[in-house]
Amino acid sequence: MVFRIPASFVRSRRLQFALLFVVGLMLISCGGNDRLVVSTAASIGDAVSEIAVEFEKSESIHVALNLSGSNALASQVDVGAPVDVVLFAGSGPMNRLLASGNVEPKSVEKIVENRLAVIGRSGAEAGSFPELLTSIGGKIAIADPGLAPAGSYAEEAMRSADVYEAVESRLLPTLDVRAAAAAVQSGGADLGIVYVTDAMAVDAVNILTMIPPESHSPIIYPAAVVAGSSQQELSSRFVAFLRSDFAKSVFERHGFVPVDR
Amino acid sequence: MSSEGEVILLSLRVAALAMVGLVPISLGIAWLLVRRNPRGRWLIEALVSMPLALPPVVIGFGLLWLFSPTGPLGEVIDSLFGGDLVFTWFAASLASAIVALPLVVRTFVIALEAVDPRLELASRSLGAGPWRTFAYVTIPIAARGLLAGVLIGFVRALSEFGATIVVAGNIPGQTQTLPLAIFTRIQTGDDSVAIRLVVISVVLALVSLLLHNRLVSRLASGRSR
Repeated sequence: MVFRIPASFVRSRRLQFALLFVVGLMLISCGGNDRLVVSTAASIGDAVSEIAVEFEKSESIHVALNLSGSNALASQVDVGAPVDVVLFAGSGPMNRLLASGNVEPKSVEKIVENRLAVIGRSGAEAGSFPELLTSIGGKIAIADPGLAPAGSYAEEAMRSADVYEAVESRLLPTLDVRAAAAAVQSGGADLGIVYVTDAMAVDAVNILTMIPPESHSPIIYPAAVVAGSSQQELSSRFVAFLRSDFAKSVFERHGFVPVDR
Repeated sequence: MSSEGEVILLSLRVAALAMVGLVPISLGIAWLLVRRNPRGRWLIEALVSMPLALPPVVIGFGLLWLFSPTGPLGEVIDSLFGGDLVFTWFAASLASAIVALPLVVRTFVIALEAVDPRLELASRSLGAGPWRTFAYVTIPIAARGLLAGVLIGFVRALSEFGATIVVAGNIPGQTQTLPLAIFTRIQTGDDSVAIRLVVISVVLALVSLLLHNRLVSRLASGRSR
C-alpha cells in the first residue's frame, strides 16, 4: 500500500475551506435551549421513551432522554449538568438531590412502583414464596444488596419470610439486577429474585411466583423537576404527564405498577 | 429509540469530529517534543499521558463540572456559542478527543522522529520557509505514521464510554454512541440488538487496527522516502 499525501493538498485552498466549513458547522449546531432534558433510569427508559414521544406531539418541544444508572444521573445533576426532569429507580438518589437542594421537595411525585418476583428458566414449575426457595435446590441469583436496591429489597423479602438464613449460602450476588436475570437465563443459577420488569424483558425466564409487596419496602420510582432547570413550567407539565392515563397504560404494559395518589 | 444505523452514523461522526480537532493539536505537541525538545518536556509528556491514567468516568465528571452552565467555563461557552456544551454531541467529541490524545501524540512523535532532520535542513537551505518545509517535506515523509496515529485515535474515540456518558449524557439520537447504545440495550433486555451492535463495533475496530498495524510495521522498517 502506498500512502502519499501530496503536500500540495495540505496547502490547497480546498482543504482550508473544508476545515473552515467543518468548524463553522460545529459552531452553528452547538448548544441551544430548545429541548427538555429528562434523566431517566435506564431500566424504565423504554417506557419513558414512548411517553416522551406522545408528550412531544402536544407540546412543541423535543424531549431528550438521558439514560443511565440512577446514582450516576444524580451525580450529574449535583455537578451542575443542565437537566430539567429526573426519574429514578429508587428513593436513594432522589434523597441525595433533596439533600443537596437540587430538587424542590414540592415537585417530587411518585410515578410507578415495581414488584419483585421469583424467576426460573422456561419449564420450571411455579410455586409460592417462600416455599419455592427451599424446595428447589441450586443457586439463587439476586442483585448484590450493596450495589443495587433490587438486592436489598430481595434480602428484605427473604428475611421477613424467615427464610434468609436457610438460603444464604446459596445466594449468588450479581453486579446489578439485570445480571441476576441473565444468570438464571444462562443456567448459572436455577432461581432468581428480580423485578417483574426484568423478568418480562429477558428471554427464556419465567415468573414462578410474585413476592408479596408487604414483605419489603415499597419500590418507588419518583420523578421531580430539577431546581436549576430553566424550564420549570414545561418540566412540571412533563412530570404531570408521567401520571396521565396514557402514561399509566404504557407503564403497565412494561410491567410497572402506576401509583395512585 | 434510534435505529442501529443512526447509532453507527452518530458514533462515526462524533469520532471523526474528535479527530479533526485532535490532529492539529497533537501534531503541534508532537512537533514541539521532537524538534524543539523543550526543558519542560517531562511535564508535557506527563500531562498528555494523564488521560491514560485516569478512569474515563473521572475525566467525564471533570469536564462536566468545568463546562456545566454553573461551572467555571460554562458562562464563557454560553456567551461564545449561545448554548450549552454539555449533553451535546460536541461534548461527546470532546470526551473522545481527550481520551484519544495520549495515543495520537505518542504515535505522531514516533512518526516525526522517523523524519531525518537533515532533509528539513536541506529544504530550508534551499530557501523554503518553515511552514513550506513542514508541509512539503516533513508531513509527506511522516504521512504513514501520522495516518497510523489518526487510526488508533479513531478506534479509541469510537470505543469511549465512561467520559462520554457522563459529560454528553446517553441521549438516543444525539449523544448515544455505539458503546452507550450497547450498554442501554443490555440494560433494557434487548440482547439481540446489543449483540449486533457489538459485532459491528468489533468489525470497525478490527478494520482500523489492521490498517494501523500495516502502516506501523512499514514505519518501523525505517523507510523514509
